[in-house]
Amino acid sequence: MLKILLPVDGSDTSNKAVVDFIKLLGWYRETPEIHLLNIQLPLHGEICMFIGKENIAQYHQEEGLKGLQAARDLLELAGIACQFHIVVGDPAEMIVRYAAEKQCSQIVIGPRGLGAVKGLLLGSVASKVMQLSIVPVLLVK
Amino acid sequence: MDIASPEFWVAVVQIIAIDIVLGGDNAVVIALASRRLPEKQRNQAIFWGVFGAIGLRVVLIFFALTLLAIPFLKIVGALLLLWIGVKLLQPEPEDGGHEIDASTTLLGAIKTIIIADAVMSLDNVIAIAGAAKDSIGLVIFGLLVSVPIIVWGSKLVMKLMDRFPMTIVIGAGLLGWIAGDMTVTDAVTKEWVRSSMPLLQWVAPAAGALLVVMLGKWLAAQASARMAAKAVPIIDLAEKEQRPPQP
Repeated sequence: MLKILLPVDGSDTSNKAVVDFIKLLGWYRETPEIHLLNIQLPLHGEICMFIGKENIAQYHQEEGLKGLQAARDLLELAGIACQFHIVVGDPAEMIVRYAAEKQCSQIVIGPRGLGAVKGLLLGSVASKVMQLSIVPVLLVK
Repeated sequence: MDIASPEFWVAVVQIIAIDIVLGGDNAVVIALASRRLPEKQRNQAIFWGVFGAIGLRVVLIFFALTLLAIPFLKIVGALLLLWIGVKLLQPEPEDGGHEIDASTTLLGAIKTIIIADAVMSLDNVIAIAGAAKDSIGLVIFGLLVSVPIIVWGSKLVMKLMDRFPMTIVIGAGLLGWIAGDMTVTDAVTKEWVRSSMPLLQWVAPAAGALLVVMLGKWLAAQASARMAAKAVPIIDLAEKEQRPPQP
């Protein structure tokens, strides 16, 4: 079965990508295995001097589950099973690494709506993923 | 300092940026340390943590300008700021970190908060005093700006840093800049620099900023290279929450 990696962050654009992807599921011969992935940005060093690792992991986990909730609800509503994962790191880098390590067949990603100027300054996660990924990437627009 | 002079406004901007980075981090630590407590205790811990953070800043600022006039103390302060600046740029440690607080007890949270308040207030006050260049008005301004950031800022500051990771780099560079400036305005160096090496007044801050950013980035790169060398598999924090996949 195809294994699809669908990174989500709970934002409106991310939810829209999930909705759009559900509509596209007819493209696949059989419903693929969907893996939702939420990426939490790491805290920086000064905070980690004071807060234990356990506590930080729990914090990331809670925030991650919040970020996954909307996508999980949307998929459940459509009657589609999914698994979900939370990792910590640079979003684009972790998406690519996760897809490679867990042998996903395809990454499905929506462009993050940052607008022209911010997108230019920050470089969108989607375009970085497309550049770095070794598995096919589907950009849902 | 004259209110119409560009130096005055540069100092104002520097002070606001420092308050956002250091005051914001202080608020984040308080929130994280008390997160696992039952609600009533959590609110108490947050209240006293914030109270302590602001109170300590008031007390320290009261002494700061006098203390920093003592020979060599600005240089010591500069070293502290350099260290904090480098620390800001480090990634989350994969293993270890300081296990000061794995507990969810009120006592554990209080301990963490007190230590964090003490260290971070000290940095913040030294940095403000350094940026204010002996102007008491600016020092008080810096204190006033930090209060709302500590009280309401933790979520906002975290969002800002998530969205614009450059904020931290700029903050760290700024700490280096101020540290460099403090080394040439210490009571023992000031006169000498002014009379025989006036160029140092600009070179030292720039070198400080460069040192912090480059050393910080280099150490962070070392850490991530070590991690990559160990070939640590990706840690999935949702593993335990996961329902078994439906057939």
